[in-house]
Amino acid sequence: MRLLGVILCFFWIILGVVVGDFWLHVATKCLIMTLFAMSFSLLYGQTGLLSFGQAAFFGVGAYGFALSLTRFGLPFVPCLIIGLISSVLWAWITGYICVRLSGIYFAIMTVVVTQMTFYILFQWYGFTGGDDGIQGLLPPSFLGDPHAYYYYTLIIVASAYFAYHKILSSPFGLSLRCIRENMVRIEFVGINVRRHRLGAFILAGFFAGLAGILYAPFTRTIAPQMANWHSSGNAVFMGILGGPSYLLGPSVGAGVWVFLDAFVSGYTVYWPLIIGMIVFFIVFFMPGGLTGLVSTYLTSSREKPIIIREV
Amino acid sequence: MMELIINQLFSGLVRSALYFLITSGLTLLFGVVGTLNMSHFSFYMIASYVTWTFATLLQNYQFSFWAAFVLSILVMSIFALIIEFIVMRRIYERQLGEQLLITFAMVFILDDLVKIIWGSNPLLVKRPDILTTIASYGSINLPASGIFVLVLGLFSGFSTWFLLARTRIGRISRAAYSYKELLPALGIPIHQIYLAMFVLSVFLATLAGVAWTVMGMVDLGQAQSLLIESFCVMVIGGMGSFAGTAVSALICGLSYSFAILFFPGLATFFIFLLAGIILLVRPWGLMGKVGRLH
Repeated sequence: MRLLGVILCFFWIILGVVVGDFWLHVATKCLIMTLFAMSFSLLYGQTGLLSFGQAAFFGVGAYGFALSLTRFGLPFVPCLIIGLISSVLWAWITGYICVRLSGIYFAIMTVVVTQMTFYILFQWYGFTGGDDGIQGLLPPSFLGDPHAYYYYTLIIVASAYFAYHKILSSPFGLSLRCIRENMVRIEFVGINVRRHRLGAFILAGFFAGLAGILYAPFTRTIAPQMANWHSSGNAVFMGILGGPSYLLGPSVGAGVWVFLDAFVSGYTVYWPLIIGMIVFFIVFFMPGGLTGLVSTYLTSSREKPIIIREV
Repeated sequence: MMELIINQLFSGLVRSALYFLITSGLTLLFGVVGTLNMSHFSFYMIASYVTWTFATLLQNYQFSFWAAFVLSILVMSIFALIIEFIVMRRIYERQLGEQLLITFAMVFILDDLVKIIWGSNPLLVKRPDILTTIASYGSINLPASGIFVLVLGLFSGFSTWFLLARTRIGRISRAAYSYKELLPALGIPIHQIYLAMFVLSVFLATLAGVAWTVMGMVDLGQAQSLLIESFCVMVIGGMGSFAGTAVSALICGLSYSFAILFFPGLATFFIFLLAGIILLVRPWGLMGKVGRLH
């Protein structure tokens, strides 16, 4: 596992040197989207909470950064911290309501949360700029070069991935997987289900917010559409594509999704139609996603259950 | 002051009728089959577009809108049958998460198909003269289109209630949720019940779609703009409870139309707040059953 991590790090470092401008852009986007997919996977793949609301925290993170940069004129780093804190706080508030519910109620409530966030950003014209969004979010000059921004993103995403790995292999991560497998039984063991779920929800909000504050200076312009349920769909689709319960799932899913997006968008504007069909196919025929497919092929033993043991 | 209240009351009732028309189909499918169809709103939007198509095709004839009304119900029912055969019957037995994911993927597919077929410009359905009139009593204005939506809501509410509560098919359908294994053992074809319920839910979405065409423009955002309210209506009323949906649609519609009077930008947020509070106190909704929470 450690060897694989080192190889992947080297791959990404070398990738930044060899590829041209277009593919560097795609690679940076891929890294950011990995965080977004991670936030969905932590909830669905590990805790068993199907969330359609991760875009809310993605959007709030980006807006927290952008508003403190443009409206209050703060320097770059405090803006990043404010963005991160605001998305974590929003995850805390909404999570407090959401984690009390389970199953279908939880899914519906997350849809409501993300649409609500979108409407607040959309309608509060005086503060957030409404439909116009916010433009001109330039990173400071030492990150102005695409290569510099790529490596800056790589460092943050790699550390976040390391943290994700640590979370999954900690007792906390194990409790989350137990909650996914059997919620009633885990409560008898003495684990506070609601608090663990809230913890997972806030962590997922943190990862989505991290993706948001990396995304805003990357595209240099943000719009409230970042926070609606179509945007959440991106996180859902990347997570499902990669295999939400595997450690490498988010990165594989985001990689394939961003690559397909860049590739397909050259031919047709009907990208949602195609990704919708792909997800359809994956849910029906390979529930473990791409990572699950490779993993079952490598282990190739029939007695191993497909979803349970990954980390 | 009195006139203002009556006007707001009327518009609130019309809004409640629209909420009810959209949400009742969702509730019905969930209450009988146990599947939540995330793409229900896409069916509602497609119904509006189909109505526009027929109304435009037949615009030189008399009663073109009413013909479009009937034809769109017909077309949407056939469409529902096709979707049932291709997708829905394969997911009834699956896990909740997979059901939600598949119907969520369907949202993207259907929305994009709408964009391919009808383009992304807002369209306006030509309304018949009788629906453009406004009945005025002093300063109380009751637009005929609102009355039409209200009648549609009341009619569909009563007929669905009658179907569920007073007929043999309704009793079987209500049993289908709790006694999934027992019904086939009694010789009742449960998959035909599921099929009927899905078509009925799309039929209710179609009524909502037609109702929307007399209230506003047909466009790609119309499904999204009602998403929060409808899900909140569903959650407040209690999932799978038909009467609860009616009551909470009334509550949400009225509170929306009065909230918009005092805080114009925050009316939707108000409904969200209402749903949040009710979920904290009664997670199973006003009229839902505790056992149905999962």
